Amino acid sequence: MQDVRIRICASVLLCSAAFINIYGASAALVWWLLFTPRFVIIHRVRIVISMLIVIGIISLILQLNDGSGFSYFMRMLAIVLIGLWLAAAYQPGEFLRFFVWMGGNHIGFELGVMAEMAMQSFSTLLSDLDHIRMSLHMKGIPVTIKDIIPTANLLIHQELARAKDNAELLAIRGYHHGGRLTPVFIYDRMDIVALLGALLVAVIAIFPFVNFLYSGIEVFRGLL
Amino acid sequence: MTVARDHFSLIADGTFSEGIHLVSGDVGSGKSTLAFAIMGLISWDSGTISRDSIGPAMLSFQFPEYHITGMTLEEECTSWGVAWEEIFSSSGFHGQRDQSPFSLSRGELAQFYVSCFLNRHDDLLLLDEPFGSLDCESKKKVCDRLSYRTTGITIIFTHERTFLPKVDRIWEITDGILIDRGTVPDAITRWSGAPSLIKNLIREGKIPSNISYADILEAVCRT
Repeated sequence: MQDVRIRICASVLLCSAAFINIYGASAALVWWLLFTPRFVIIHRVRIVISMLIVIGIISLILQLNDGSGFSYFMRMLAIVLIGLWLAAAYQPGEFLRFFVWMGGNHIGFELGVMAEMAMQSFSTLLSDLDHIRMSLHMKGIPVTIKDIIPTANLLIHQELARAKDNAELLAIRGYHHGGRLTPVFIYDRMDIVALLGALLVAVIAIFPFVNFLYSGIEVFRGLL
Repeated sequence: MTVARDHFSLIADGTFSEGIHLVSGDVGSGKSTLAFAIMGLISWDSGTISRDSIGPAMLSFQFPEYHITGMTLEEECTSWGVAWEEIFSSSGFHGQRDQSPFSLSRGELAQFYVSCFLNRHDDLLLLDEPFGSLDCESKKKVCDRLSYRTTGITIIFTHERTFLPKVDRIWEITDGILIDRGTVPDAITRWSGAPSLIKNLIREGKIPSNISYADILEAVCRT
């Protein structure tokens, strides 16, 4: 999917649908299977596995507590997978173009710059984490919960230092407020089909009749 | 072994034996890649790296902040498995043991970590740009301390031109290939990327006995 506007719009629709109920989550997962390269573009498999383990533990607790664990797991799984796809498909400069298109050359540009800087920070954070892991490995220190505090401390310090550097760089280059950009977007027929698919997912989540149908099916299955 | 990325490749073939080795090369030539590969922290595409009879090994990162795993300098020393008394007395951080490592400047942090590395007595010590954040005085001190590391294998990956320690062997990375220039002092004349001061001295027939600041100074003053 080439057009960032369609990608963001589809992600918002899908995540909202997944959040509303399990039917929306199921439909969003089907959409993810049909319209994304699935796990091919995910490079940080360990992070994904860690996230799924955390979600799985919370789901198990919820399931044992009030029986809502399965629904929670499905909804979170859909949101995480859609989020991962959105992050992996990101190309530098896309969010700036998107926000300028949406909000113009003043507020939109500001938001776009912030979004781009946040995305840049995200990739450097991952690189920082790699280095911390290497350092712990070389020191022969097993990674434990106790290490979260110094690790977070380091990450926050690094981020603050980088934010200060970036702010100084923008100030030195005379950046004051907004900018000028003429965003250009390219999309194909499949992008439109995917967007329509995301709309359908949203309808499935919202339309109460579908919920009624699903509950009817469940009653039928229960009778069987 | 070989490493190939998008617009980068590195071919390395050689044996690092006991002593101090200098691996020089331009920025982006592949020095850090080689250091990380030797340490086994990144994967390579073909070939093998074998570490014969090597016990504890350590790589010093170019950016010292990445080594921080403790909340205080004392905790940092403990994480390296070295006695904090030794570090604080040898590196001038006396009285700062409860201080956060982040309260130090990058240069101070680099000095602190060099002290930690040298007090560990690893069999293999890899130093990636150890002079990067240091002032001239600190570089001299680090070089002096490195020159006295008599056991184990020490490999210094740097593009530093002025302050270097006494080394046993010089290697160069040129056009993505690691080249062994041999043992010092013969290697100095074969070192194509040698600092211009050393090249001028060679031209004048004053070949320094080694590449440390003191050796170069001696060659300059030689009549």
